[in-house]
Amino acid sequence: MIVQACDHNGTPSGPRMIAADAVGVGDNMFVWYETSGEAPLAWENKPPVDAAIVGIVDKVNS
Amino acid sequence: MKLGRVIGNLESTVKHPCYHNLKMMIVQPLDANSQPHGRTHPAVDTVGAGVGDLALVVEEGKAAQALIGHNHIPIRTLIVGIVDQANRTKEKTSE
Repeated sequence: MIVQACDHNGTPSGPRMIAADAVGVGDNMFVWYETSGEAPLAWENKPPVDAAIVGIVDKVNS
Repeated sequence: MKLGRVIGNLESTVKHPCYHNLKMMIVQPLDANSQPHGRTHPAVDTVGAGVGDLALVVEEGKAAQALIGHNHIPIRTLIVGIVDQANRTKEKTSE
């Protein structure tokens, strides 16, 4: 998936990146992702990825 | 480790199994003068932090693995402490 980094309000901030999906997301969903060495740990077989989507945000209370 | 202000929490139903039963907070990173600096981000709370707390944040997978007790988890950012007070030596000024 292509992910646009953003703040907690969903305001775009920072880079777009390619992230592998570990949870089953769809377009325009608000998600969080892990990068670097922790990204492969989303899967048992540790694929060589540097960004992994690991959760879908239902709501942010702030 | 970094200092950040807890500014909210995050609700989620669909997530990697390693996040089940973990509390997710939203953290605003702070600079040396305690001013907001950089993008807000989610963090797993391990100490019971609340909104408004000054938090000690680690961004390191090995630390997360040690604290949570599993070594195969895609977690990198954790709140590991609540800061009561941060004292900083005043900088000298030219005047």
